[in-house]
Amino acid sequence: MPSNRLVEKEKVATYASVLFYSVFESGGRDAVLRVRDEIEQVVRIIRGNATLIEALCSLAYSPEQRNTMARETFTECVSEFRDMLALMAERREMDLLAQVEPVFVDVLQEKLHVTVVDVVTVVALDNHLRDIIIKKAASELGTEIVLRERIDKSILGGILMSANGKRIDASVFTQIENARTLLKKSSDGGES
Amino acid sequence: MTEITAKSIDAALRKQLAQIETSLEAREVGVVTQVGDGIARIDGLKGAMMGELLEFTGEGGKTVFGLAQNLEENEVGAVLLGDVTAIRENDMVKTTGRVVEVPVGKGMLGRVVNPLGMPIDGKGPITPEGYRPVEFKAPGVISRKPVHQPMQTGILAVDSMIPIGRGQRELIIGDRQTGKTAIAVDAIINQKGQDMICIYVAIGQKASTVAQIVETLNRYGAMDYTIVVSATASDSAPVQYIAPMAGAAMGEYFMYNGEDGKPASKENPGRHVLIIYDDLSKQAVAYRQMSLTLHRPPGREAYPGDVFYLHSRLLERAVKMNDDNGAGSMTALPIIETQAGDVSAYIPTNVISITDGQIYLQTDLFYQGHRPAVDVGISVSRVGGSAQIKAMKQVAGSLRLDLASYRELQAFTQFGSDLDKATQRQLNRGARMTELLKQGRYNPMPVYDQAIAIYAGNQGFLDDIPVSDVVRFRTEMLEFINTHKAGIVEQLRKELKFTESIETELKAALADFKAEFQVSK
Repeated sequence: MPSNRLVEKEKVATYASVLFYSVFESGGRDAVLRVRDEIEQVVRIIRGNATLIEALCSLAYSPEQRNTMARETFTECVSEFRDMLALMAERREMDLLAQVEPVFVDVLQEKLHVTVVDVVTVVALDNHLRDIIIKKAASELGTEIVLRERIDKSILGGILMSANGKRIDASVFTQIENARTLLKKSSDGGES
Repeated sequence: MTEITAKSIDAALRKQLAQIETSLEAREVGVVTQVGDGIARIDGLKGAMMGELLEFTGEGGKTVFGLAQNLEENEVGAVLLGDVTAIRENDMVKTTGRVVEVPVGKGMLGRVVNPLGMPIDGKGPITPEGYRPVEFKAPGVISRKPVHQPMQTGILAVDSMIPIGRGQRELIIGDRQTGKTAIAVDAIINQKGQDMICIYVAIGQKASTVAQIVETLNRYGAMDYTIVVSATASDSAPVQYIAPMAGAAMGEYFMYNGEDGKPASKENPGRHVLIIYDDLSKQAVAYRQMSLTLHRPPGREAYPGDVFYLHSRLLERAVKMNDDNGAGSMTALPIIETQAGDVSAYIPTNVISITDGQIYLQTDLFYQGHRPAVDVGISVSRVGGSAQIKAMKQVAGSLRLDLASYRELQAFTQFGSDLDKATQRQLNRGARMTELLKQGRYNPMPVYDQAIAIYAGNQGFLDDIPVSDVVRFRTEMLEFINTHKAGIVEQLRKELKFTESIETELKAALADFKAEFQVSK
């Protein structure tokens, strides 16, 4: 396993840029954006599954076996990304994937001038609202905006937006939760 | 009791609802990548601050707070302060832009709270007057003043030979079961009516021990001016780690503010605080656990490299403020438990070097019946001398040296029996003076009584009293003087020193008492 921090950093940058260029060559901007979502999903799957990451990094399997295992586990992914995952498993470098994700997003923003904004609402966005969000986000971030929409009834209402590791929470759930915390904390009328 | 009306409920609700923040701000979010041993590793949060409070949203929307500790290139290491089991991998973490704060104010007095300031005594909610950060930089040189006011513990052996001043840091060190906590509790009990706020911080102790201490303080009416901060052995390491700092934050509120809760100044004097950290060795162990699980490199005895800084920055917060800043003070009595009397271990040497002296308790002395088991030979107070009252200085000036030479002589004369008269006299006096310093628990002695007792010993009034009767002689003599010759104590309190007339009167009173004293058969 690499112990040198700079070597590791270099590897992460190489994985991210090679992935970006190969996907962009074959499928253009849409494919790159799809891979960005896939990386996010795979990182979540790996984090929540200790057995999987253990198997993909295990010395008990040969590099070829690990390669095949990764290919068969992530069959749904874009082929270039699947190839990269297989290579990472073969070289026992799956733990670098979480670091590849932000670097890939940086390359994407730099080369395509696009920022992906995740939007969570209770009901589907209409075109008018979508336009407002895109315009507002574009003026704030100074790049072209691509929305990733998701419906989540647990937020009760309002909207939740996140981009570049920052989140704006205007959900009804959070506002009610904040009010609940405040009312619970205030002790007017309590024993002194 | 205040009357509750519909109007007052309406007003209270309106006041609280007005505080609800509806504006939005962007918060940085990260994801938990690993959790275990009370530690969480977080991906993201590139802009997190060291010591920042992090908000974890766990299973079913449950919120748990954590403390950012390790800011690394790719991740943040945080310690969890709440229900560790509610957090899983992939849970969301938000920065809050705040550091850990605890509620402070007069409402905390008489209460038992956890290190986050939440009441754990079942006496209902606390109305805080504000919040203070747990980590706070100690005041600089300019706003300080040398220690000059005494902080009486009521313990004869301590107040006479190892005097403690307000704003001093005096370490209480000794093996287990040598009476370290007893000294601290006695010091708290003795603060009744002394305009002193006391804070007792229990770290890593059994909950039953803490309950017993609270019960004792209640019994002696000491809880009225005391706050007990309890992080018991069942609390997580991070909670034990922040406990002393939380106690210090609660004490600082009183020191930096006047009676009216406004900032202390020349016109609005700050309050005096006594804080006991019982004990810092357990805090160091909790910090070691935290650091090792955070993968910080271990140093000597596996403690992290900054364990010295942990204690030095905590104890630097004990201070005597100058008059412009209200002249308040915070006196710290940290406790360290040694293993088999080894004061040269890492944590004891660190804390010895940070504090302004130490009260060293010996197991041997304890079992020989010397209680408190203070070893006066190696106990020292580096700054307390200037805070000692003059009367005590007059009588106790040479006591420490006399006792030291007595101990030396005693060891030497064990080998021979032919002793000259002077040596015999010295041994005789030493044995009685040693006996005079014995004192029961929860039995603090006013400083003027202490001075009179030592004066009687110095003047030879005890020389022909059997050693076994010395403590009874002291008790009855003080009772006699306080009831029949109260004028002497009154005069001593007024003059603050032994004047010629006081000495003449006291000698006569002592002679009168001695004539009536019946030795045991």
